[in-house]
Amino acid sequence: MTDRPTLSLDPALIERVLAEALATGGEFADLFAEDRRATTFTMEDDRLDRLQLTQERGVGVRVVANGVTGYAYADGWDEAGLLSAARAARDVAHAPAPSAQVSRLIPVEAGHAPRPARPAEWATIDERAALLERANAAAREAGPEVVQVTVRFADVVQRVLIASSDGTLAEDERRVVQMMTAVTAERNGVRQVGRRARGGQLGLELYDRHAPEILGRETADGAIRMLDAIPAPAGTMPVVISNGWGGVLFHEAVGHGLEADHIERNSSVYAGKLGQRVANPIVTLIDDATIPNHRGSYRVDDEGVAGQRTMCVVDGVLEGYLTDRKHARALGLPTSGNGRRQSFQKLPIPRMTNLIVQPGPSTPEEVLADTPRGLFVVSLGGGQVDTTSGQFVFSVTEGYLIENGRLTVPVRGATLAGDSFSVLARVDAVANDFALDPGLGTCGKQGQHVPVGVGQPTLRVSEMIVGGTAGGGA
Amino acid sequence: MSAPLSATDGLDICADIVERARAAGADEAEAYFEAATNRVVDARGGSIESLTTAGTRGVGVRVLVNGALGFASGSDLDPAGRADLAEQAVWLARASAPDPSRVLPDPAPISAADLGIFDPAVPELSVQEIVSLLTRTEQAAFAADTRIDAPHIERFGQTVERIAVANSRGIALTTAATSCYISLSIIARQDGLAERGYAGVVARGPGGLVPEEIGRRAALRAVTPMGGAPLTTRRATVVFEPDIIADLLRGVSQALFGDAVVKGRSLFAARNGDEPWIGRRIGAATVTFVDDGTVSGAPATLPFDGEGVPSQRTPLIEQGVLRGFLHNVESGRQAGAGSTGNGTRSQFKFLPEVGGTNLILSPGTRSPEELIAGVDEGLYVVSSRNVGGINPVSGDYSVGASGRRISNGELAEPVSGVTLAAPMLQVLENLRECGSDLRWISGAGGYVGAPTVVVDDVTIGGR
Repeated sequence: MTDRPTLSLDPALIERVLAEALATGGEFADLFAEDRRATTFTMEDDRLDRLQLTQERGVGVRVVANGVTGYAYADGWDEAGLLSAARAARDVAHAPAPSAQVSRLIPVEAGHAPRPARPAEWATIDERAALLERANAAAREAGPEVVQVTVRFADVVQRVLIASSDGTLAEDERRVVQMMTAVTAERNGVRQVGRRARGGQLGLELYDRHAPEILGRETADGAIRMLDAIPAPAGTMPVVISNGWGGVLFHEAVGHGLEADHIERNSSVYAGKLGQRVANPIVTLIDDATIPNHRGSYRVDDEGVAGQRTMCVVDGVLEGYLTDRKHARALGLPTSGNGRRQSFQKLPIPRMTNLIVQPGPSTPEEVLADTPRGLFVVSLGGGQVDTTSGQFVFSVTEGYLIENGRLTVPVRGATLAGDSFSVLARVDAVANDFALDPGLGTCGKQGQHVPVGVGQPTLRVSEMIVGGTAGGGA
Repeated sequence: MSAPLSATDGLDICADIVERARAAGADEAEAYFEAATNRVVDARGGSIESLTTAGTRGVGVRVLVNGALGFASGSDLDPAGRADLAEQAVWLARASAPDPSRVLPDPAPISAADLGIFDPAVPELSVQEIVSLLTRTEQAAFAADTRIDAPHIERFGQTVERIAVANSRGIALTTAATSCYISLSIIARQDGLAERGYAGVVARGPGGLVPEEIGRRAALRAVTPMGGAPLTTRRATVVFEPDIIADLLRGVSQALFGDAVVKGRSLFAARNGDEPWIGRRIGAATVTFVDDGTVSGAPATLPFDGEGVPSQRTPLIEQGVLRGFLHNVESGRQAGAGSTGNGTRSQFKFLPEVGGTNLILSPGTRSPEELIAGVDEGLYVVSSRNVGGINPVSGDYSVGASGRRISNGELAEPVSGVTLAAPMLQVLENLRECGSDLRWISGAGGYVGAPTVVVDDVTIGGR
């Protein structure tokens, strides 16, 4: 492996680049330099294969002049490239405007980046291969129905440096590891695939606490259980969502509508509702970038603002939006440290970090026992929301019928549909078993994908539309 | 800021890396080069919000050492960076298990026909012309319906790219292509209700962008569900707009990917004792579905794929009968077939995976209006939300949808917040008719050419 790069740029050079960006006018300029190294190891058909490594390095310069944003990006971060990006950004913004002065750069006060005990990029190929093999073997041993096992281990080290004309200077190092398993099970011509993942911002020590064997076994067991799945019912019914990854429901149904670009464009059902009741009082929703080592966390966001804990909904009342610099300015709101970008090739937009639902008073057993009939959702697949109408939809990758307060048969092919306000109003039971997701979430918005986390206790929505193929006679 | 787009640049870099990889110990080596200049313009109400400009390059290096694969990619292309990439790829291959299906392709004749994939007008577009395209798009939306209130996002994007691929067996190919797109997201309001509608188009040049059509379609999607409610749960005939059926067709195509079939991750995987899928009837006679990477000017057309294999036309379903699968070199070898020129690469960072090019469902002869007029009772779906409910392994199809009820051949009240579900193969079997309005639809997992279609007996989940 090549030596560890450092992303430190000479402060005098950074100031020259920012001054160049503002030389023909503009109220604000910033620079985002990124170095990203990613490796992916795959084990399929019991063989280590598809070892891939990618390294990218680039820089983007932004100039804001009279409200128009000019942005230019380029590979590498040599001086000539930086200065030419600054000029290109300036040229495209090209709105005549008074020039701001570049303030003296002062490092931003923020928490510490995670320090892995055993950084993945220092691990030998054999160490990583051993982790894959343990998950693979456990999945294979789960039963004769297992016909295909794929295990993938990916680690990404992203180092960023952000500097802006208002004097912001910040660096961050984000190291995300993730092990993903996909198991195909087959019986009597029926096939099902189960998928699970475990990851976070840590080194390989993460897998001391979360053994790959458990991941492999759980994935296979889930796939085998789904072989007995009956077609999902269609209609309206109570839905109990299990803890952890279930929180993705709120990420879609509520979180996206709290992002400040949607508020500024009046394209969110939550626009103009600060201080108003938007949910049943048992609901408290927080966006927290400071959860140690979780997938959606960071020391600073991609505009150099310290990561924060933002109270979004408190006891059912809307208290806060998620802002980046641009939309905080436009709305006269504080910056909440939610300006994120997929890479140096994109402009920052307001995004969630780890969106969590606070625990409530019940036990998960009580919630279930109190539900005569409905759907129990163990795992949700993708979800999507239209923030303007609040309509959202989800696919259920693992779910079970609830009959007389007990789980009975697994169901396949279910979709959940609803609207933002209804789901918040209809959360009628929240349990005390809060858990974070296992570190698998990636959120897409406007073509940009960023790692996110979610967390929640087991909770019940009294009424949702479940879309399946059973019922609803001709 | 401009990426070098001369034909020799990319080939020279590829040849150099292939040579370095061989020197580092690779038995076989391949380099795939991409250089692009991009521009994105966001505007609203005729004024620019942001303008992004860039030039980037990168190379992906694939090597084989004793039959094992290694892959490294990066954007640092000076001599030291190239040496790094070649050595890393070899280092990774040495740690991997051998696989006899891993080979690189031999050179094959590439059609010299003009495929209409480079439009010199793209790099020449001025910012004013771009803003004017976006303004026309927005105005068409406002003109389409009085309830249209404000644009949410208007975006124009363009790419001018040069691709080169070379390998140690003598492949040395390069091509240049342009593309541009317009996308519009617009908000409609009425009586305190709000809805958003989205439409977009991708073309090889500005002549293929139809701003008025995009504006109208976005407006239609925003206003159609306005004030709508879920239907009661039922099974009914559904008329799918092209974009909606395109998602299902992508799911079907994924089940036809050779690697998924070989690895058992497909509805069409061979099962012991069953008759082979090829030659089996899996849909109505109205269903003819092909993958064609050679259609002039189409969004996914290229002279060769990501491995340097010539692009071709591959029949997948002919009048309801399954005819073929899609392969890259590796899956073709595993299946005892050849590559169908479907080793696609979305970026230099990725290995050439099996993927669709232009996936086309053959159109029929009647307009969407005529199709709707022929439905007694059903649902016309203009927008859907696909969130992973389309499963190429189990064959499940389940999405969220909104549109309008059809009653006695006429569009009736708006419907929103329902779900559609049916097994994928049942949709193909019950596909009563295709319309005449074929259009290109972009999205993850291949470009689809699809018309409006009528499908009987779909479960609508609602109240």
